[in-house]
Amino acid sequence: MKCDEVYAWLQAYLDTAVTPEEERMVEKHIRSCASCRRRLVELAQTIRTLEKAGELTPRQEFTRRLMDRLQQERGAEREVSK
Amino acid sequence: MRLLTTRRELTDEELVGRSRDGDQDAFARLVGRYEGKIYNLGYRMLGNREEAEDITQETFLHTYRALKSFRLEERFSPWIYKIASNLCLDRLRKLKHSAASLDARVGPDGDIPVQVADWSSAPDRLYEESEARADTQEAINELPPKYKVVVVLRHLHDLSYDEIARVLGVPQGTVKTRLFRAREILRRKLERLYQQMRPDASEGERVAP
Repeated sequence: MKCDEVYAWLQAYLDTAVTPEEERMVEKHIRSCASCRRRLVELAQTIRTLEKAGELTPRQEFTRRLMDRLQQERGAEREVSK
Repeated sequence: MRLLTTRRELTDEELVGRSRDGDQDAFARLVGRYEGKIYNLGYRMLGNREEAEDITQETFLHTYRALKSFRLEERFSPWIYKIASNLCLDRLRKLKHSAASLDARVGPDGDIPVQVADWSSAPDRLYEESEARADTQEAINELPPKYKVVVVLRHLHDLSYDEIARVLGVPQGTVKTRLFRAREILRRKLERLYQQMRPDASEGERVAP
């Protein structure tokens, strides 16, 4: 099995989106191929970094302004339907 | 005083139904549930808080105006993600046009921006987690929009291939191709960053006896 052929499975493997048969194939390949093994580890590390990127919280005043804006929208709607 | 209640939580779709019938609190509850998610999507896609706030407001206004066209047998979450993703992609297209007319920060294929990060002070610093976060965001920022949106939905919002396909209105195969390419680009970019930050990274791996 060539590295190019295994590549898409390698990626899908990281999302646990492979069939058990494909999983075995990937694992067999990476046991014998150091460069794919390294690529897999680096991809996993990249994904971990992404997922650790953390969540931001909107500023409180933003939430208030958003609700005010929606209130205006409702007001405008009522004006139209009068 | 907070009332103790055994009532089950209303589903998103039930809240949409109530919002449509004029229940104002119902829409406020939907905002409460999704504001943070949409804000973070906007931030990852557009790269700064102001744009993120803007896109979040736009998303809820669009959502509110479109409530009547929502089919109650659909799920709400892919629907609002779709609205937000499209608004972000539109915004990026506009930003790209205005940036391209100001200077030539777009690569020869018009797709991948040239790296402009300044790493001059990098080797002196410890590679800390907050910096890793900033570098990750920077690497995401540099992705072409159609790759960026897939990575953000998959890894920062935990959507499946199928959900992403529905949000973006493309086949699952396209989602996979874009996701795999995007991760490969990020792997190369982040690998370079890590190596720049860790001078000892080029030494051979130590093998345990």
